[in-house]
Amino acid sequence: MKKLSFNVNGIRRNTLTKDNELLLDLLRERLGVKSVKAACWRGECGLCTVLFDGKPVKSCLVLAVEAEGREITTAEGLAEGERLSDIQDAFVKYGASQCGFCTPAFVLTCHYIIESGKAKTEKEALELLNGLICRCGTYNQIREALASLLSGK
Amino acid sequence: MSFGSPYFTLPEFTYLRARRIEEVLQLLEEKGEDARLLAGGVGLISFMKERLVSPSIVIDIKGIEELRGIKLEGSKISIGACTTLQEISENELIRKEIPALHQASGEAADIAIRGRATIGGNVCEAIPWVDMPVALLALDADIHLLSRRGERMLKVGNFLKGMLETDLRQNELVTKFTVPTPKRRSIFRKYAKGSEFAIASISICVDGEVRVVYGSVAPTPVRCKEVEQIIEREGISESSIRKASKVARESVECMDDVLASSAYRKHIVGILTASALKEIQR
Ligand SMILES: Cc1cc2nc3c(=O)[nH]c(=O)nc-3n(C[C@H](O)[C@H](O)[C@H](O)COP(=O)(O)OP(=O)(O)OC[C@H]3O[C@@H](n4cnc5c(N)ncnc54)[C@H](O)[C@@H]3O)c2cc1C
Repeated sequence: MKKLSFNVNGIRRNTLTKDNELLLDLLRERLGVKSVKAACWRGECGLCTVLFDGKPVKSCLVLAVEAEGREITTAEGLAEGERLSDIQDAFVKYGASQCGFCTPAFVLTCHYIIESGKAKTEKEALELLNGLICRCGTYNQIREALASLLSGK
Repeated sequence: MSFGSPYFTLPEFTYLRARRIEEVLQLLEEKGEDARLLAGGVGLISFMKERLVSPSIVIDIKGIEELRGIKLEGSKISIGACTTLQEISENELIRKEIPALHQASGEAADIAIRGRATIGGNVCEAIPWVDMPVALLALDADIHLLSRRGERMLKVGNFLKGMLETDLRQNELVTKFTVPTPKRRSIFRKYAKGSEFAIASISICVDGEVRVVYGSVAPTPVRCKEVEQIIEREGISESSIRKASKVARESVECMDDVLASSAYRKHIVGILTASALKEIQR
């Protein structure tokens, strides 16, 4: 066992980890951060996405020990108290929830796209969503929510 | 290789975070077969889940500063082994001087994987469907290897030996790749569904010697001399493009696997050849 100290949504977490523990397991199973979903376990579906020092990573492909001293942000960490973040607001406004299972990963990735300024156009923004495979009923509403913030409407 | 049903756990190992190159070389010398390097971890963690490798020691090298970054070294551009695909795709020097590398890195996988995956890992993983080796071969790039016994440098094409097979020795670390310039007239294109691995890819460079390389069609990227000769002889024109596309379809040997049949790949190879040549002509 190794001592591990890192931030989850701004809160210091001190825990013990085995060297072969996945960040996904630590967050979801041991720290109870349930917005981080476990589905494919091989980096393909994107549903275990978290922000690692502000950038998206798939937590099934990261060791827990790699998080030492880092800042992890999950969907739980986007709102400030009762105040939703801009992208969460937009998801509500456009009804962009799909079935809900992939929503945390989409919200986080969209948040990153907006905050990083990596996409200039809607097309570029949508390309940055290609690591999340879910495309069910309200994918168009996700597009709308994302686009509404890109153009600053 | 199966990549079948997922394993949910990793084999047991001891994780070590290296701070200096010398530390890594020492460990590799001492631990030999038992040790594996971890850069982005995208490949290694997947391989460990599948039990394709079960090292007892995992050495994290991504924090070693000397292994990162992109620099002009005389007439060559050097790229540190631990530079991520995202960093490469956002680098101005690469965008301007080596379009093929800009495109290959920027279109690989997805934003979350590109932010972790390194160029060193992408090449050392030695699987047929990855993108960086295809561009590096077309660019006539060198791979630089270091061990306590010394340094060596070889062409990326000679480093890659086959499926999961490279010329990497147990005690060696890849430090960087160097690309001789000019390479402005270079291109990388692939055909893939969404963020999946490419069904086929192509990289062409026509600065100096003409090099035409196909990826995802065989265990390692392959050059097509027949297409290169057409372009050397006739330049790029409507008629040479038509000829090259046909010749590529006929002469590039393509494998059958879960992603696509050999016949389908050949069809795609023809299309990629024509479209990449058209674009590079502009
Ligand atoms: C869902 C998914 C989609 C993907 N799509 C694409 C794609 O479209 N295009 C593409 O190109 N790739 C794709 N990949 C593959 C991915 O890019 C590679 O797995 C990644 O580049 C490997 O780099 P890494 O830094 O993570 O390597 P690691 O996992 O850290 O290492 C891989 C191997 O290389 C060795 N190694 C790493 N660095 C060094 C070094 N400096 N010296 C010696 N040995 C070293 C390690 O020991 C290990 O054996 C995809 C992967 C996934 C999971």
